[in-house]
Amino acid sequence: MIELPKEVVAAFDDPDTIKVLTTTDEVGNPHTVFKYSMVVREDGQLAFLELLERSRTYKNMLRNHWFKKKVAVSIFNPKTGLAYQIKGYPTRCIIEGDEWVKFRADLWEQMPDIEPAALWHIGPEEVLDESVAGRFEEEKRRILQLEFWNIHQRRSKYIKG
Amino acid sequence: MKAYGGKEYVMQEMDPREEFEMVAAAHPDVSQNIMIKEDVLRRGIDFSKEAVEEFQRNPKEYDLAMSILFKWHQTEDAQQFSIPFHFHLSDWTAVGIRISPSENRPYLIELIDDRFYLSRTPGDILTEIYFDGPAQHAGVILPNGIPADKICHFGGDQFYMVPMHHCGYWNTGDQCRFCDIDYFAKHMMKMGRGFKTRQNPEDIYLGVCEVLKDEGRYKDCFCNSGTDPRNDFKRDLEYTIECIEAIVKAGKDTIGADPFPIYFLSAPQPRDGMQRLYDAGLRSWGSYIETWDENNWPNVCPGKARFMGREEWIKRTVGAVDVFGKGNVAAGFVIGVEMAPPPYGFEDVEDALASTLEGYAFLIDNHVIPIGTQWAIEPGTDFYKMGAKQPPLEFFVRVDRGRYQLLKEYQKQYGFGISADYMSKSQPFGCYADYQRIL
Repeated sequence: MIELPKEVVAAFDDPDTIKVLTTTDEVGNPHTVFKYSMVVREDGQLAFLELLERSRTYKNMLRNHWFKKKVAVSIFNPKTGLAYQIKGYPTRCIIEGDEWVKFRADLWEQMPDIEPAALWHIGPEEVLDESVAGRFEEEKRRILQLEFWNIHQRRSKYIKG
Repeated sequence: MKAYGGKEYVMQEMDPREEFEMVAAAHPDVSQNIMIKEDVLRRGIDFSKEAVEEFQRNPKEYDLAMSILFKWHQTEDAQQFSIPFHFHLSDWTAVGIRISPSENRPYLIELIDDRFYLSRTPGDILTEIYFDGPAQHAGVILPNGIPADKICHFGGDQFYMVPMHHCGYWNTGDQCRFCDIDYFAKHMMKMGRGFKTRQNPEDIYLGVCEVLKDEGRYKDCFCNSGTDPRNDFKRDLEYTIECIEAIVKAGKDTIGADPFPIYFLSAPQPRDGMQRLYDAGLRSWGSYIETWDENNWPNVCPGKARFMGREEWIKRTVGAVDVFGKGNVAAGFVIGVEMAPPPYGFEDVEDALASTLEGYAFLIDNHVIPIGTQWAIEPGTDFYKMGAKQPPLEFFVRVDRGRYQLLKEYQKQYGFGISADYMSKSQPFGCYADYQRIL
């Protein structure tokens, strides 16, 4: 497990941040959903509440946990432009205890008629800066001549007048 | 020729579908599109009458860079047609069009309900294919009277130029045995339509200025050219510099790019010559070694052997990395020539593969990008006259895959890759650019 950058941890607490979870089914088909409940726990793991028993995400999380397959979480804050992707393994499924009770209480404030299915933890293994500027800097290190051959990426320097 | 576990192989005697499916089953990690490209370049292309007629009806919709004399079956006379330079598959893989005799059982381009398809035989569709949209400079006549698309061919995000359509090795009968450049030029001259064997810097300047008016379309240009070996290639150097300066000036005057990205293939120069190319504005350069095996080499490219020699050719090519930098120098082979009849190539596919992959490993170890153009046995070449036959599909699949694996190992070792990024989606006659899309 890795430690998430501070700006990523802070972004999870920002209500403007959009949080998206991608899991895969038994044949590798991706399944992507929004998870507003997702937070970073004190131990650095992600946690979210799965609302529906035997939903696609529920089953996929279980399979990905059993067979040690990674899931992906993408976050994007449209106000700041921050964009990151975190890949990690589902590490634990919980349906009792203090953390479960707190998540469920928060849910019931918004949706009192929903019986949540499970609280899942995800242990981050990779974190990627997915902002355009961040990705371009990364690709420049990997592909030596990227900037020179992508002439349109420096068009603003060339446009006359 | 021996392939598929030492069996005697003659392409014309093997069922195309059976061979394709057998190789696909043996290499499940190779994409079908890459295999289609390898096989299309090997077997060639034929056209349905409807497809050819569509090209003539709407010439501005296609890159009709080539003219051919075409004779329909059971007709008396050959007719002159214009055909595109290449087409695209669903993943934008560019596939070059090579006309091929029926004995090679070429693939067929068909027009069905206004869409183009690649078929094995009429109606036996393999996949839909696509052509580049119209280029703005198609049909434009430059101030010097030359059609702009005779100076700059277009394909995707790159324009392609051949400033000199004559190679000096032909003057002494020392042309590379797979090469048809002078035959092709003679054919194009006969067709007319503004074809010019040797373009001067003004032609090039005007052509590039016209092309770059299509704002945002072209990222770079690729040039290769016939060679002038006289005076230890000094005339060749001077002409190449003139061409580069003309392109650079056009890039600067038209869009303000300094220097406009150019990738130029030419004969290797000593270090001071390479430095002059760089100083003229060239940032990526490459040469063709043609074939790797030292015994086959002088037989395949006798001009290169006579006027420079293999050791010097390779030494200068590798030395160019000191001038242009890692990943800015490329060197290639004509893939398939390794299996030309002895003493030009190897009898067995395993020996040919081992030789070429050894050559690629050497280039990669020296930070040179390994490229390759798939061999076409064209009329007008010595190999054609000899009756040489195409190697098995297995050979091309394994060479391209092997080169990709070597590049992946390099990337793992150094943390960065060397790749011909200027060719990323626009190389119709080899698969190195297609594989580097997943590097």
